[in-house]
Amino acid sequence: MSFDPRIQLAEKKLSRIRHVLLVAGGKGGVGKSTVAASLALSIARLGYKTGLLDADIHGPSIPKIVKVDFPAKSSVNGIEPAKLENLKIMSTAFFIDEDKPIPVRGESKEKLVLDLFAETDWSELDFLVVDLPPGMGDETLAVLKIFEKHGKAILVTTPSLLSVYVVEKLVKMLMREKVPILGIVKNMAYIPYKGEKIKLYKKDVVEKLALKYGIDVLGELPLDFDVEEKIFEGKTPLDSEKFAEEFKKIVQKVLDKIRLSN
Amino acid sequence: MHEWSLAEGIYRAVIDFAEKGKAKRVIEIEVQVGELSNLDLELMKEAFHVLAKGSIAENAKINFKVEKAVFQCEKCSYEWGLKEALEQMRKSLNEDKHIVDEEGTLDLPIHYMPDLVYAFVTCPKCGSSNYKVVSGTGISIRKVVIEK
Repeated sequence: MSFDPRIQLAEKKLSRIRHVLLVAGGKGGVGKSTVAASLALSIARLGYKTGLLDADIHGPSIPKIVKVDFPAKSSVNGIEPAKLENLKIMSTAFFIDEDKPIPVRGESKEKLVLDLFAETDWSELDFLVVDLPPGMGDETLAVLKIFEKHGKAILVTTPSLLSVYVVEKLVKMLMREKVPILGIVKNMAYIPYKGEKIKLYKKDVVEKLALKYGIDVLGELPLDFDVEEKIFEGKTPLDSEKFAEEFKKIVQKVLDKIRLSN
Repeated sequence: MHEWSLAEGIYRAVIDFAEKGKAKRVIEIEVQVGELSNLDLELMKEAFHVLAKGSIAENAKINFKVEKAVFQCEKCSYEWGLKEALEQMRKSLNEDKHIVDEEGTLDLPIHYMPDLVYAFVTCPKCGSSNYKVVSGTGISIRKVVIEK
């Protein structure tokens, strides 16, 4: 026999978490981490006990989006997560110098995701938001394995044909794994200019995809240069007014859907 | 104190297995641990026995087998072990990247996440990151002997 006791640890931690939201997109650079961080922070600000797990092993970017101090402490309950306001955050980036590559191989990625989740002292949570890596490789499969019974997916894509092409593959995989899809966020859909929305893509392939698979579009977010500026300044994407305004609607839709599904 | 949570994981897994097998008691458990985690096995044993008190695993004998850490470079085929890996980690890891436990001990991140070793170690001979950790990172229950 061979049985990993960390799976039991993960199950124990999961038993104290009410909802797990898996933010995924398949393709890199579509804004998954920005959406995951903003979603987790928004929910935490509404008073829910919330955690944010950065499952992007090779390119952990959550600590770049939300600047936090990692306490680097542990107790019998596990490693203490970093905190932004009342949001608990864990990422492999906390343990590694910023400029260092993280070239992890196959099975090790799976073990790392399990360790990162199971070794963190999340305590009791209403929501755990998981930022998935691009692709459908080992770490994505590891996340699905840990959270398959609890997780609900939120997909992020740009309206680009290439991005939607990849997200469709992810939709099929999630359906195959029976992971419910709460909806899809259309990111970088337009540029806000003098009160107008300048669309970046002529054809709306996201709506077409959503219709094909019966998925709700949770909302569309602007390509707002101010978001990047705010991150540079050490603030969060939610400090960008236009982004925050649109994001609020998405958060409301997500919470409504969760209430309905219970 | 990481040892306590792992001991709890072992205890839960063993009890689950034993109950499914309708066991009256658990006699022996064998656990393989990777060398890279640098776990305090005596502490784990103690923790397990505290947790198992009053359960069907109370008097179980728990044996730990340490699996040596072996690294193999994909580029130059050089093989190395824990000593060389630790030397690199100690040189490259600042104190602020260690984790302080309740007793004030500074732990390397690989104590909690052994597979993070890829971020800290390169081939000592050619400097490549393209290597395999052949063994020494996991923890697994290999044997549970029960009495029905």
